[in-house]
Amino acid sequence: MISRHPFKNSGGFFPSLLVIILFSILVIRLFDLQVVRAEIYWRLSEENRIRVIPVDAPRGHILDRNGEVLVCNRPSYVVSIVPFKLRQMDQTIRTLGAILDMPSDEINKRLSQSRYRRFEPVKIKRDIDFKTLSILEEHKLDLLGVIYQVEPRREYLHGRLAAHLMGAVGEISARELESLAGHGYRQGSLVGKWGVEKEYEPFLHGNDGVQFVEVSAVGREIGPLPDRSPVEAKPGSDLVLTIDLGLQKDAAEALSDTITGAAVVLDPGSGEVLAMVSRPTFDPNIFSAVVPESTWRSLNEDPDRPLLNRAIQCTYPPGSAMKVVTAAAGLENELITEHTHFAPCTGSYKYGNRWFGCWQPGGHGSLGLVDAMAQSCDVYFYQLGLKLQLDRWSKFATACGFGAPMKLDLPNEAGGLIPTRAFYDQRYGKGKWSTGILLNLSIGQGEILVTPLQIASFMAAVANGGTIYRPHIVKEIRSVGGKVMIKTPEIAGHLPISDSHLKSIRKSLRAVVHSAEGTGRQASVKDVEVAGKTGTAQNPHGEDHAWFVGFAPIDNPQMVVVVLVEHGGHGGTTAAPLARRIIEAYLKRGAV
Amino acid sequence: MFNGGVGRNIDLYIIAAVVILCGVGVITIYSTLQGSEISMARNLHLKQLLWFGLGLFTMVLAAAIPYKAYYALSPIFYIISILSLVLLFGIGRGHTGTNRWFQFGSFHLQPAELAKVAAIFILARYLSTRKVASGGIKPFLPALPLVGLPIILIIKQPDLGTSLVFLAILVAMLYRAGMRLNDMFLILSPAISLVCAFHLASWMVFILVLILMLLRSRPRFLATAAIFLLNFAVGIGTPILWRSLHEYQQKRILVFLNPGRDPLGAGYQVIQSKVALGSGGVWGKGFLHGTQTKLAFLPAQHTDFVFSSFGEQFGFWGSLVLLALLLTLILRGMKIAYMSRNKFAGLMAMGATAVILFHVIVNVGVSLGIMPVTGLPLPFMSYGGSSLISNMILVGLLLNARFRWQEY
Repeated sequence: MISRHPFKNSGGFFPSLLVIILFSILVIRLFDLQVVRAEIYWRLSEENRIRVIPVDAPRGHILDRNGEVLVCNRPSYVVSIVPFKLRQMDQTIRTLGAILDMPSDEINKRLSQSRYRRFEPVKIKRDIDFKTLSILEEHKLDLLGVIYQVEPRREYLHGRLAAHLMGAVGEISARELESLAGHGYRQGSLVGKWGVEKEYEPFLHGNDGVQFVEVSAVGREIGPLPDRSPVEAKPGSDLVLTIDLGLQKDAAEALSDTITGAAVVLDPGSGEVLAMVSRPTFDPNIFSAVVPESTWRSLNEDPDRPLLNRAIQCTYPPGSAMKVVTAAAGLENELITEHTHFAPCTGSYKYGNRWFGCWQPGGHGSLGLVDAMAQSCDVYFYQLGLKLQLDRWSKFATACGFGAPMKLDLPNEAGGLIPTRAFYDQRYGKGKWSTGILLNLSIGQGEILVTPLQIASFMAAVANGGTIYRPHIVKEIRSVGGKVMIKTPEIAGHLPISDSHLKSIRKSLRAVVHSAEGTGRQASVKDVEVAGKTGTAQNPHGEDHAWFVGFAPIDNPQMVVVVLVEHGGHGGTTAAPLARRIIEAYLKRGAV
Repeated sequence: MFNGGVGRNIDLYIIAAVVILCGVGVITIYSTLQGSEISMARNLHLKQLLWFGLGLFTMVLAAAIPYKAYYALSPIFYIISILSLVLLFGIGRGHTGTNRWFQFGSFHLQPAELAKVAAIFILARYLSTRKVASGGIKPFLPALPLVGLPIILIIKQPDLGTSLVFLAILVAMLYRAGMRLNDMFLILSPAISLVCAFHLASWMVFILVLILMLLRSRPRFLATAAIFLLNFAVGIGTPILWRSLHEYQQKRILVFLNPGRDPLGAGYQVIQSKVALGSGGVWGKGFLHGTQTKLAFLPAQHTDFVFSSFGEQFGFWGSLVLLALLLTLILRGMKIAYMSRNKFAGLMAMGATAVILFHVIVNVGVSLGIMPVTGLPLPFMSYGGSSLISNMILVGLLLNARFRWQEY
């Protein structure tokens, strides 16, 4: 029989032995728990004497590029309830509510959120002041089960100054908790809600620690748990931003409180964001504690939308700032040279049976590219746009980085819109739109939408010789262990423009600021040559948006600045002087 | 040829062990639900009883169909199970961002459970058709991707514990198919390298052992070079890759490997489990008198931590009886795996036994606090239909092989 079949039937001994060994290990351990150490566990199981007390890790600090602290933590008091210890629950909650100025319902709601952990403190109100604390202390006997603990609270030292960049922290929502549970988050944890705080949440948060404590039957702490050592809290990593605090201040001052708009300053050599301002702004400190419903509503329903970061989350028609793209497309497609003249501008241009006006009703006469750019002659660019045609124009604008988010390391960045043939076909139906839209697009009007950051990144590439960097706002991540992660500049692409054509473009942008007829004369500063372009964007909501985008110095570009003023009127008169102030502030500070 | 008729070829030990285990499971589940605030949950033990009835039926069915049919159908089973695992990523459901089951109304189906059975069939078929016993590594290699595919799909759900079950199936069946331990060591060496790589000294010791093993078994030059290079790449690459990660990323991986590291989540469960077991003492607190169990300090006490609830109520002696029942079942399974004359049947029995063994060791190990928390249920006792049915099918396969052990 053995010889007949090839399958070995002996040899089951070894695996059976292995099974018995494995089971023996289990039995030994079982014996240890249930016989040898049974008494300790019996004690612990009475009334369940184990408390797991979480220790919040201090959140990482946020610094500017020179090491100035922008965001840090300070100690604060939080009032909590240990549900298990509550006697006369309704009475206690009423008394507590009166002292904390909180409705009882709200307290009950918070208690019910963590009803499975009756032995752990439930945070009721954060960051209470000393006066409230002393009142609580006086009523200690009526408030059995109410405790207060110290916890770190987020402090934004410069408040409204860079609020949109920092964002804010807030209590974890039920939905966030679901996706973050298991990563050390729990009910009541603080998480980043917007801005850098949200984008870099995993780095900033750190690892919360835990103390395992044995308590007496009435809840008094006896000492650490016999067979579990505590887990130390590990602070979060510090972030070093690319922002320069001084420049951020100057930019914020330039865009005074009455303005609605944005300003961005970039380093064209790396894509680092040196300053980013959005107006109106808000104070992120109010979110660190529990935010009253009313504050939320007023911020959310404010028609000026102060929570929006206008530099990256809002899109606008770029107006004449887009002429730089149209001009470059013309040069690259060999439709024009620097010296090409079109039919002279008489103040308007007839296409089909429609007249398209130039902003200068008197007309510019016959101009070459440099003068047409300097004086922002619409008629010149109408004619260039018609030569380009829609497909070539949209393809070129897309290749320049428009129509998609720049992937800045901040949440909720908008992508803007570069209309294409497909877009119009879908919107108006095939053949139901005229190529006349191209006249508008070539001067940055119509359906086209961009963010201030996109314009800034494009201009940075024009300044640095064609490299589109991915803009970024965090320079370094420093963990507590001393490990430093440095963010190196990331190249997102290259402008489809040759060096010689870039030179022509830069020449024309210099003329915008420095020629006698230039629309951007008000952006000129002493001793240093500035290049730039103004934009005046018509929009359906009211007065025109004012744009200025430029860089300085021309020979050795160190900074790119974009200023957008919503409904500010002319770019040359509203935005250019603000840009000048920012450029001056930059130069005054020397190289960053 | 047949001695003693049909009755002697039915393994009554196995059937008795399974029925008792299931019964104890239902009773323990009942005890864990008494403290529950949700009234719907209070009759989960009845639901489990229903599953048990259905399980008995599937067990008999799995035992009655001649295993030659499984042999013939194994490729189809395998393809269906892989497809359903892939499909999970589209329409699967699970807790907090996982894709573990299909949902039909209130009924969950976990394809990973069926995939275990399918993997056993396809491996048994492959390892029995080739002349793999002749030695060497090469003939075994095609078995790796067969098991690797479901492992990868299940890790991505993500469910590390269940994917490791497949590794247990692979190792057990390769051994049963006659692969030498030496060769198995060489095949699995990159995985061991991965684990050792975090500690330079132990990795160097391991490499030394590997070199000795290579010298001893002397595979062909190309194979030697490949194994050696692979180990080296893994051993050097892993620490470099690891160090390039930020702490929080490292932590997420560590918690994924052992959720017990999260002291507020699974770590809390392990403490409570140990307290429940330890406080049970020698004789236990008595049925329905488990304080840990009653106050519901143990999350998942009717599923993954059912052993702790049982141990609290019935003490050391009760737990010992429970382990003895499980041991009986596994040793009988092992015996069947070695007595079957048909290679396919023997391999199938070995795979089925390995699945049950792995679940028991890991689940009880977790409850005792000596294993990473993997979320594997205790066979026959934990609440859950998918797992009970698939375990009953595995038992059916054991009975199947036993019943026809004399066939070639």
